Amino acid sequence: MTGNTSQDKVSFSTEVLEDHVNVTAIGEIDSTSSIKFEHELRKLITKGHTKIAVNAEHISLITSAGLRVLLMMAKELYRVSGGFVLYGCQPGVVEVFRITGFDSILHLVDSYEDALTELGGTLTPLSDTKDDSQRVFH
Amino acid sequence: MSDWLKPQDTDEKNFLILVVDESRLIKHVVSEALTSHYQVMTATTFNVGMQAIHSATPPDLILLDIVMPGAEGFETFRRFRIDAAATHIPIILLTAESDPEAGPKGLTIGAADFVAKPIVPDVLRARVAIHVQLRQQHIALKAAYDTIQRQKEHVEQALILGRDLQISLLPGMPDKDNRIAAAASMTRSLEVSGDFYDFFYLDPNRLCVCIADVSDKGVPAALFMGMCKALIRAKSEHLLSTADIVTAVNEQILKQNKSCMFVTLILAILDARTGQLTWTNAGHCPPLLVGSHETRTLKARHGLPVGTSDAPFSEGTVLLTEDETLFLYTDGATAINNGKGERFGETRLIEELSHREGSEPQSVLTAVTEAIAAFSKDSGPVDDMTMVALRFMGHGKRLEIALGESAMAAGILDERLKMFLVHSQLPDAYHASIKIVLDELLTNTHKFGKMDGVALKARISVEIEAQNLTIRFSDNGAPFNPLEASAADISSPLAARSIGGLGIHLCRNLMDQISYERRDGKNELTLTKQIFTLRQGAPIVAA
Repeated sequence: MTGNTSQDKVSFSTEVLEDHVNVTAIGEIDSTSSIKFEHELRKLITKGHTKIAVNAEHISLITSAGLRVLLMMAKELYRVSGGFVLYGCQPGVVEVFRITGFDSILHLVDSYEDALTELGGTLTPLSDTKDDSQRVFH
Repeated sequence: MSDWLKPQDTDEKNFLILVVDESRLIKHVVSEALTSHYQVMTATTFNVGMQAIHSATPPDLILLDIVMPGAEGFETFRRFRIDAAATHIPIILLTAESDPEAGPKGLTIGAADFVAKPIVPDVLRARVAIHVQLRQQHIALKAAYDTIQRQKEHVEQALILGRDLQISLLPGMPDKDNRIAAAASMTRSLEVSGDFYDFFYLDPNRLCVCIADVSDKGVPAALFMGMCKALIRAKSEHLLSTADIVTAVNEQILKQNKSCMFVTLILAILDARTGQLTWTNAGHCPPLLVGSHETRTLKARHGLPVGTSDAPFSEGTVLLTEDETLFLYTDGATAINNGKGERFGETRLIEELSHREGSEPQSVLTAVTEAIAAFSKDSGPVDDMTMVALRFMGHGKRLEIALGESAMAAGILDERLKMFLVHSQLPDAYHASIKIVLDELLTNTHKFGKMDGVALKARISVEIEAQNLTIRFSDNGAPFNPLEASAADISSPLAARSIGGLGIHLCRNLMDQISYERRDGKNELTLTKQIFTLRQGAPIVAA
């Protein structure tokens, strides 16, 4: 028995556009596959991309190892006045964000269009604003 | 002498004898002795003789006059011998009276015979007659050989067709059944085989499996095999015990078995609801039962090979526990040699199987086949070898896994957990919770549990009992009570947010209850959650 590798669990496709990058992740992001997730996002930041939209429609599961990656990336991107938005999250993943309070620090929206609106506007980390109405996915 | 070895061509007149007569002294006496019986042509030089040999009608026999004494006399003989067209034509030497050693010497260097001069016509004719007959027999043999070769090719072609047909007749795997996983493999020599296996459901809950090895190989064995297989299927329709089925098949075969063939077989019925296995072993290699703790050999025998005796067969029963795999094989698997006279044997087979505990049947068979191939790589071609693996998945209610340190980091849990969840009938929403909880607990243990001089081990069980899901997680790492760990940060703004403690926080929130105990040097966590199902008949409870 060989067990699955992180390669089997998650795969990515990345679309580099004029003013942002659209990353589609497919699969489960847990302790083994989060390494690949981090690598994929870090590659983009290293290349100088500061606005990233993550298509989360096909992320079926996320554990704290995946949250760690999201937190790191969000911190780095907002530090350089960039943007980091997840769109189309499945209910199970939203539930994990809710339990861990990540829904208060991540920009979560429904669709790619919404993500573009967010990234196009002047983005600030949610918790730094006192306006709760900007939160999505309650 | 068989008929076909007798000279077919009774008209010896067709026999062409070449007389090489360089001194032109023996022509008359030779002609006188032979022309009445054979066709005779004379060559007075080596070159003319060579032309005759290379012509469209080469001679069947050469008479060569040795004129010169000593080595020189054999010069012409040697030149004939080294010519490719002449090498297969027998040469009789005519040797000089003055050189008595020439004849024997000629025999040692490849002459068919010799006749010493002066030539006595009757003697020469008698000697030539012997070689003509030998030559005719040679030609007849060659023709017979060519015929056999052609027929052999026909037969081989038919055997290949037969073999392909046999393969196409092998059953597919049983329909997807949540409760049983099955796989079979057949490695075959280049002949039609006497091995076979079969799978079929007697009813929706009972799977019948058969493996057998006919006493011989080739076409008769294949025909016998086809008969056995059909009989087993036919008798299984109205008989329900393996003993009764095999007894009935045996009776039928004894009536028809003029060729005295026999077949060793195992017929087994596995009840997918309970894991009860009923089997009859008729002189076959014993089945192996691969469990999580050990591999057992089911040694019981229930009768002689089918086709050898009219004694009735008995049967045995054993209860398979969840995740146990029944492994059946034909002796090709264990009899195989490593080229040093050692057999692969049951011990190696059991060892190989024990490493595969808990794996999918197909990967078990692939691994065993590879192990056998590696073992026998220095010996001859593989004999027929058939293997069947049948895994009882149980009710999908309980999963138990022990993991070492490297396995914790490698995500090795995934395959088993995935299979368990697929078969569990647990609503999908719970799958993610179980996966997350186990991932968090394993990560925690792997990161923080390490102690000097202790090999880190974890034992996991996931159990579904009525409406309750219970996860038990035990590890031998450093004492750690997650319930006393400081609370996770779930409210700081992004820039100040920390990640610590989120895993345990997730576990506490995804499950209803967690309890911790440090016992016998182990951290023991028990997590429970109530299961709400929306299936018909189940109570619908608001979350």
